[in-house]
Amino acid sequence: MSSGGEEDHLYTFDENDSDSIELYESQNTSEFTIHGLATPKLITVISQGSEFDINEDEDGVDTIYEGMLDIPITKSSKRVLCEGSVPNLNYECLTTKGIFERILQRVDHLQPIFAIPSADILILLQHYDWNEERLLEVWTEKMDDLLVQLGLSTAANAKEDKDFSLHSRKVEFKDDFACVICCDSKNTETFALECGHEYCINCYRHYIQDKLHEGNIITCMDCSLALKNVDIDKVMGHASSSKLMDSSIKSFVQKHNRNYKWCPFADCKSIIHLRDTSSLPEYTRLHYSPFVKCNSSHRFCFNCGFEVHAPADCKITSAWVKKARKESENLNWVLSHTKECPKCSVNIEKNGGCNHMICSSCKYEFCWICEGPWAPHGKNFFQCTMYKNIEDSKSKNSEDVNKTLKKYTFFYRLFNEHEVSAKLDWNLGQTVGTKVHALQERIGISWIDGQFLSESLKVLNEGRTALKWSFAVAFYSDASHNLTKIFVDNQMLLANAVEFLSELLQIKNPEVIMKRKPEFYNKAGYVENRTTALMECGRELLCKGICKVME
Amino acid sequence: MPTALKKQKPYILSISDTCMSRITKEYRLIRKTLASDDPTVNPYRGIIDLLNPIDETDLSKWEATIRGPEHTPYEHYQFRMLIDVPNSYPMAPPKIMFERDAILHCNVKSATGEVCLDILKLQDWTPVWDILHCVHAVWRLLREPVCESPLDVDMGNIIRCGDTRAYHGIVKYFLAERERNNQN
Repeated sequence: MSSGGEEDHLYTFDENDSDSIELYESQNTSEFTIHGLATPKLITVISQGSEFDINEDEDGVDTIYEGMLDIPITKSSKRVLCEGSVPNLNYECLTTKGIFERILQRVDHLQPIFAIPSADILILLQHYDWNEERLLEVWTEKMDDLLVQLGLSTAANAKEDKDFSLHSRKVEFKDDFACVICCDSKNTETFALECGHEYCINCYRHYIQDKLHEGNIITCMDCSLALKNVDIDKVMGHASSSKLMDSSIKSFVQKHNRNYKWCPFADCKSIIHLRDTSSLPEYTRLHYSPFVKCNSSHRFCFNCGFEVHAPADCKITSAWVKKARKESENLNWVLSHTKECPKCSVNIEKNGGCNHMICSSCKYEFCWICEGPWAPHGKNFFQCTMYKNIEDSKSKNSEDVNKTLKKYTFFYRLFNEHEVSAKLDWNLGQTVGTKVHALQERIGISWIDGQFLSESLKVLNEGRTALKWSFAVAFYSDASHNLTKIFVDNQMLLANAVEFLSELLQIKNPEVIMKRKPEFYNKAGYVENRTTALMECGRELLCKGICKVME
Repeated sequence: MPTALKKQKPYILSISDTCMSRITKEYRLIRKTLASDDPTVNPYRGIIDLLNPIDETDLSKWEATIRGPEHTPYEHYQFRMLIDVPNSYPMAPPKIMFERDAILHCNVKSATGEVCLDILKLQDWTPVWDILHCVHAVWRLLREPVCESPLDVDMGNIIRCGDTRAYHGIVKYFLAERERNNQN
């Protein structure tokens, strides 16, 4: 399809719905003012009330200039639209390992204050859930008690056991050692702390292994003396203490789930730490969602842990997902267990084994298998050709689904379609990488110059996701309202834009790609604009209460 | 020799083997201890009347009978418990239950006989303790109810508001009733 053809296509949309689009877009004047300021030429275009980006396509030279400019402008306008009224989220992406390293730094910092070995401070911190302030508070009040309580000091036990100083923590090899845990006597390695409670290494390993995932301080089996990380590693023979620290930090994250969230993507170990949660209610009030991005570029909603679901808010999203789960069961069930009465089209469930059906509403008698009238079946049972009719009945079923489910099915199908397309786009993304590589090798352009491809792909993905979730918004919106109609128009515009961009990204020939580079910029910028517009429009539906979850 | 042992890294050994050898050893020790008349060997005289496997061939199911501690409403009564030794013993604690509807206590769910005792929870359990310890700990629980974490909330509340006389009265009534039902 030539670029000229695409424009025509778009124009028809514009003409048909020009009033509604104008109505909506006039609400977003800020977006256009910025454009206008940057490139005066655009103002005239906008005043005509048509799609400025596409118009620029017509003369090639200008397009490069405008197109290049377009992206930064779009971004700034996007900020005005998306982030202007809500404070930016102040967050960082961490891993358990990163958190532990930070803790170690703090320990080094605290060491002069505490004047005890670093390993002991680590245990103190672990006990106080890595909360420095609470630890310091207790520490200044009753440090000796704390040391005894956490099994770091032998002072309390020393009185009972005179030989205390004779023991030291170590792994030893002993002949014919009788372990009281497993009740075996054997030549084995043993482990004991200063308390002298000595057990064979196997029992100790079992004991520690069971405790590692709890994340609590591990003590001697018979008294409260604590095992330090070095001891654990000594007994287990490898870096098991890091597993304990991991579990401890994990439980810390779980406990502080208002500020810390795990990245919900499969196998992603990132943790997002939101430093300031005070802006979250503001996000909810304005129907924005606090989207965050982890270091592996997974974007998700900090509030509900779902993927980026704009223009839908968290409430719509969860309602939609719940409904999808429930309804798709219903839908499948209706499609697989029922047939329509050939005469009155009521859905009939076959509740017995016999194929002689009598419709309860119109009393029509028919055969379940061929859906023909029962009368000719008579005594010559199963004359009907069961396979011949299956095709027919199937198409009939899908054509005319249960009325109550119709609206939902319609939107769900669209939602699903875009989900499938998003997956295909992802595959596309894999090839884009190789394309960029090909560009570098064959035509000898720089890596930076090739980046427009991956950027376009990113924009495409975001557009698709927004489009996908917009169907959830559309489903819950009052269809008779004018703004809903505008929203639907916006959906169509974005859908078209996305398809064009997707088509561009299918191009395989590197020379053609480079030749059409301006187009990439243009379409990507356009998709970005449309995405923003759709998101804003959806948010307005939410803010005005036109889109809401029933019940 | 020590180096050879170090190399094998064998700490996933069959748990049931450990469990078996340990429990056999304990059984032998329990029989010897409870049979003795010497109070230094057998401090459980008048406390634990019986502690046996229900079936000699299956050491995972035990029964125990303890005597109500003196100066408590449980005095003069006997209480039977069932003990389940898991396969992961001694790394995991044994499960101890009273008989159903046989006792009223703020840390026991009367209807099931379930006992709430910290050392019998996996987190606080250590392999150093044995079955005898556990039974003894349950006996001590009869003497010193822990009303901070009650399983029977009503009984816990009575103790918490300081009305020990009411607590004792209810327990005595319950146990007398139990006795009467048993005789019938």
